[in-house]
Amino acid sequence: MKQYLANVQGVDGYLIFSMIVFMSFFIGLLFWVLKADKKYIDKMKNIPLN
Amino acid sequence: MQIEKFNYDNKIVRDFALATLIFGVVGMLVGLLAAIQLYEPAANLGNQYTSFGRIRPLHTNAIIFAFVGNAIFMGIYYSLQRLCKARMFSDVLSRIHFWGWQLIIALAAVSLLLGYTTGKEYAELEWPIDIMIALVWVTFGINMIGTIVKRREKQMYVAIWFYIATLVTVAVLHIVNSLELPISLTKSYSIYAGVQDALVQWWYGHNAVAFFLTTPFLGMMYYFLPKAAGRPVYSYKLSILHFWSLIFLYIWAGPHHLLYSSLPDWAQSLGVAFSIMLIAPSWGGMVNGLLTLRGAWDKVRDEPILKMFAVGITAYGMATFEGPLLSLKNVNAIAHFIDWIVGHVHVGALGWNGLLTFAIIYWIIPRIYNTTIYSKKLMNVHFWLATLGIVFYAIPMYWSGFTQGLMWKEFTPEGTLQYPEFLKITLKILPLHMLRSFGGALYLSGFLVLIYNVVKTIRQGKLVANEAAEAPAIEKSMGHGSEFWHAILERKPITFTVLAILVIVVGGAVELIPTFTIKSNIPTIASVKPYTPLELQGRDIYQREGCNTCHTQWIRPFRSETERYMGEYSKAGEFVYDHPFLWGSKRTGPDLMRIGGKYPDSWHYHHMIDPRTMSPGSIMPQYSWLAEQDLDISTTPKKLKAMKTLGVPYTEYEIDNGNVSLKVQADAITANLKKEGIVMESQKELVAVIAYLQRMGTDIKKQTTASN
Repeated sequence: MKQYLANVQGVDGYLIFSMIVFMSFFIGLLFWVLKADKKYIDKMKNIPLN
Repeated sequence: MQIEKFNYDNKIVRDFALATLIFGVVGMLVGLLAAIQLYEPAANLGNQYTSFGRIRPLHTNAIIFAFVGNAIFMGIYYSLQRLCKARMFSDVLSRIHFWGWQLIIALAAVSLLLGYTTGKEYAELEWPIDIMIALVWVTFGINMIGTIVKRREKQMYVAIWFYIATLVTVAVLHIVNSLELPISLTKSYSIYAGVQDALVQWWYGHNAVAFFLTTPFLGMMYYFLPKAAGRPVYSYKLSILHFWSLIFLYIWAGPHHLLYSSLPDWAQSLGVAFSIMLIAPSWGGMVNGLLTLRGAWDKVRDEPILKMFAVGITAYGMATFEGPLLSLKNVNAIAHFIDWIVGHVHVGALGWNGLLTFAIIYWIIPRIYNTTIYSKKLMNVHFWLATLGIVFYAIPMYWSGFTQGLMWKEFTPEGTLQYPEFLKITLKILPLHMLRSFGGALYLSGFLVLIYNVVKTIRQGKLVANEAAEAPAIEKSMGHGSEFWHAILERKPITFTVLAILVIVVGGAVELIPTFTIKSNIPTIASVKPYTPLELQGRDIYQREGCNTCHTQWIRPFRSETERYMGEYSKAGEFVYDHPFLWGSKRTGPDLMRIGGKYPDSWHYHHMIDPRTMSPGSIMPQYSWLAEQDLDISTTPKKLKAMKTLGVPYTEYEIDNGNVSLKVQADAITANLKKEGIVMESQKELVAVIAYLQRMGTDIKKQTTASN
């Protein structure tokens, strides 16, 4: 099947792009979540119970 | 701060709850009938409307869109109003949404039984109903976003993010997968062909599981579980992490439904990689749910609602562990097409969707009727019937799945198949199928106990149609300097929605675009020609009768398969004229890819009239009506023309003379049958079906030269 793809330009690009997009998205997300303010998090947590 | 008074609309919640109960019974009864048909062919009731090929899509549609669908709307309409501290945006839209959805269900039930189907799993409904679904979904969307916009709670709680993701993704999936060219009100052809159609379908199919059966339920879990347990969710940070990762990753994983098919390898690998990664956010949700109950396990002992949540969330954990496991290529080699998959999806449906739905119904009904539940004891009875039902369902399916999967692949020391006769393997697993239907019956009986309990509860209370509430108006000032970014996002529903769309579109686009660009590069096989008019009509009947629910057209590149099905494995180039693809996903019967030319026409005739005359013990339904009904040839030119529009190279001459060549081919088949002493008129539907079956997979055998 690989030979079909040899004809398609930029398929490698798609694969690498997908991984880069996800990893940077996830690392950014993780960074910000860890930095989040505890008071805010506690407030959000309790919304359904209010 | 000004306190505003308003009312929650409980009537719409009640209406969706009642619809959930009604369609739950219907969907489960039809499922039970289908389960019995798989060991007792007489349960097909000898007519076309109730044969397995039509009953099975009715069951899946009834459960997914009618039972679970109504349960989702019930849960969202209840929780969204309270999380936003606002009444639904518009009562009129709520009513249009409710009645529109029930109308769609009614039309779906009738049309599926009549055999109107696109042949695509979980997307079987024909184009007019597809348009209605889109319109009703938009109504729901306006109502939901409208409510969020006019909310009195500044921040959007995690449940709402899941609802938004559900809303936008289901819309995108539904539209892309339903693009079809209408022939008439009841018939259309998918605009995609073969491999592309398969990829789009399983991108849809997989994400229908994700965004219809998973995300709305995670949202509801995040609202109703803390409510029922009386404590906040275990980790809000985890919920942010797993929400974004889940919606990001899910959308890429569809190709794991097509491993070892003629889908390009890179797409298969992409699907596997993202499927394995998916376990992390899925388990993030499970862990967050179960740990919310930490320190409250004593309550779980006494409170059946919490028991249902605990078992339901555990079932979610099991199903999402199995998913990545099943998408490993070496596991998939055995697991695909077998009963394990049926067990897997039912752990999800009966455990996760079912038990959570029951827990939410038990939570909501007494509250909107301002009373207490009629009987807690009956709730416990229900809990045990449902749990045992799942056990009696899943274990026989795993057992039977492994039995058939291994028997299909077993070779003798001499190198021939140990069990060359497919039917022998099928007969071996029938006792397990009987046990499975017992499990299903247990589960259904538990549901009937719920209905009794709910009816009694409703009788002892009175509906609070408009529940008074009050909350301070939302403050206009927003944010101060260095604020947590997600907090900002949680105040901006439109931005949030756009971002969620972006996240799912990236995955969808990366998966789909390369396959569309390789259209011209799918290796064409010179000897693969378009179907003749009669074969095309026969193929449409094959699709109408749902033959593809039990038979695959997809021989994988394994010796055990090329040996069993006596031919080459399936090539991408063989499907270029298939609108839609009919690869199937389950081998209840043998693969039919190379059935063409394997048996004489007369064998097919007898086999369709009564399969047991040719294959004693077969569980296939009889299709005797095909020999009685006349083929509708008035559609032939339209069908050929539509195919031409979609890129199938029929000439004008072929289109204009479609019915002439159809008649010639049909006469040849009936003449053939006559030699074997069978008298049949050439205009009968069965002749077209035989023509299609005899053509299937034969072109490649005529191959002399192939390009690429």
